[in-house]
Amino acid sequence: MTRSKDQISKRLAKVVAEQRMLLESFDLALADGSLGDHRDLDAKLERLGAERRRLTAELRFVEVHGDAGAGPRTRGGGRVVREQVLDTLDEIGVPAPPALISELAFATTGADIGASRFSSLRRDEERAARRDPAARPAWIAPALNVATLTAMPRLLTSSAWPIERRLIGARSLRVGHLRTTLALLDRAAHLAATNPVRAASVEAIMLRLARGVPGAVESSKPADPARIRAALDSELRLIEQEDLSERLAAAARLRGYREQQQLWGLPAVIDGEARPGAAAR
Amino acid sequence: MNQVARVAKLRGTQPAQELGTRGIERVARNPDCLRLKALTIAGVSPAKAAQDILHRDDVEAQSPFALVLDQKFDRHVLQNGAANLFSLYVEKGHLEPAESKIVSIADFAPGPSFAQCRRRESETRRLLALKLARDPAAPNLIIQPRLVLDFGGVPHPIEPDYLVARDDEPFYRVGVLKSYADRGGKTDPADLRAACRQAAVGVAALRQFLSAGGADAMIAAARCDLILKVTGFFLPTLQRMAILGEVDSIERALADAPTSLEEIEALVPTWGTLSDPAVLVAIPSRYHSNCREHCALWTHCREQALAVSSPALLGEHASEYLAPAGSIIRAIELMKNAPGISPRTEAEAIVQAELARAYRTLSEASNG
Repeated sequence: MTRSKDQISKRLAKVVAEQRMLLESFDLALADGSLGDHRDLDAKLERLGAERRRLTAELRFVEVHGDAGAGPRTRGGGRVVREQVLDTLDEIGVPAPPALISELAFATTGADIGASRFSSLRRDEERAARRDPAARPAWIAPALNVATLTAMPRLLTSSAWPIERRLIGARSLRVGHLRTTLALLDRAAHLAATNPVRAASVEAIMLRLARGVPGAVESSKPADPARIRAALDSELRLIEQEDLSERLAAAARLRGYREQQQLWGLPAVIDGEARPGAAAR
Repeated sequence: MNQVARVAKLRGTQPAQELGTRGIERVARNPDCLRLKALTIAGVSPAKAAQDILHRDDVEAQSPFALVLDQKFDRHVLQNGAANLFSLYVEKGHLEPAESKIVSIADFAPGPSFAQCRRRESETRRLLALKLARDPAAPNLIIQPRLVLDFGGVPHPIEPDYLVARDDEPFYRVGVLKSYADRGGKTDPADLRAACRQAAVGVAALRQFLSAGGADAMIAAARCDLILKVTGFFLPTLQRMAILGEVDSIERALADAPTSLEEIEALVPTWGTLSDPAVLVAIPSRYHSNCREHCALWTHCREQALAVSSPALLGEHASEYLAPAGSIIRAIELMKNAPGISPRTEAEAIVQAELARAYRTLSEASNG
């Protein structure tokens, strides 16, 4: 939802008041020498600072373009692109490439997110998250490879997911494809009663994905959701457990690294340029 | 001077290009053409050379329609974790449903920057090494791997469409995607040959990788999988092909002189570069009637052939047949037994006798 100028101003005033209060606490702690006991003050101030900067930008935008206009980095529907992407990712529940996210966002909500915007979006997210990881509840982060624990920038995830869900193992691309198809099958069935137009769009994507599953769709026959589900379940049963075990093992290794590395991956090491495993813990 | 600097010097003002499998395959179609070899080793495409060095305005580009169709078909088959490709392999029985370890190399580092390209090469090598070590985590399908092929002493990166192997197979086979319609026995053989030669370049690169690691190069078999399109639909079809001849021709082209950068450098004067038109046209070429199919320099080479009245202008058969005469003009003079013209060699005498007989027969038939 696009917020009005009044709403933004109120929220901004609240954030500034909180900042003032925290700065007073900071001042007091500094005076009585207990700053060491209040280590979280800095992080809270940083987070509020990020929020204040974002709201100020939003307020300036609304002052220029009016309340009805879309905010910076927003689309027709009014919601910020990153939220739209995170919602779509949550709906699928597995790492996905920008083209699929863009297509699904359009089919489910009518949001037009060009796939070409994703690289700059991902860079912005990483920059902001490195400045203050607590500034937002979730970030758009790259999937990580189980073998090297390095980023796979063409596959996007939500930082709010458990680590093992953000990892890509040998079978994860296939599991991801099956899980996505299953999610769309459910979504299409759900939308059929409430929004038949959107349901048809989602179903078209689901059918295209289902054609990549042996035995799911019979040529020259109408698609049968029960048959598709059975084919998906049967293939998932074969490979999902092995995939999960591989990802859980890698997640345990990844937990040994710093928070930023858990999110954005280890630096990629190219043959002959550094010793494998030399990345700093 | 290191190798990169030497190749850059050879190239002159031209920017480096990655010519890929098509570039290497082109050399195998005309392995005797030194000009094409020199340009390929230096990383300059014939189209770029024709346009920017020789300033020709008659260069034919690939049809944009065919280009878009190719890209669309590739996307359709390879998107969403190559789901359609994997499904095709399972349906054909070439992979089991559980053999679904799929890696798309571009996921690691998409983009054309030097670091991204190196990362893709590095990841490809890591995955190939897994297979070689019989690691159960080795992928069954590697989408757009980035291999390095040594040609003329210079590494040339190539990106085959995909590699495929069952868990129990020792190594990968190369897969090629083409948006040609699969018409069974009626599919254009020239299209099939070109696709197979491109796959053969991939096999040659895999064999070089294996040899460099001390493994048996022959486990990269001379076989490929060809994915074509069902006529009128975007559905893929799969054909398994033996490409022994194609791999041989690629390996021969790689082994034929010039085999090192020094030999290419010897073709160019110390003061010159391939960006200099005078230097480029001075390098011997070998014009064939089929150069038009693959080389943008064909118009220039044909003009050179016309200037010397080369028998190559009359096609492969005539070119071989008239080789002793050396030129069309000389062959005509011999045929008509022109005054003062006598055969210089025994081979020329045979050609003269056969041409004269044919000429007499033609005269009798046409003049009664």
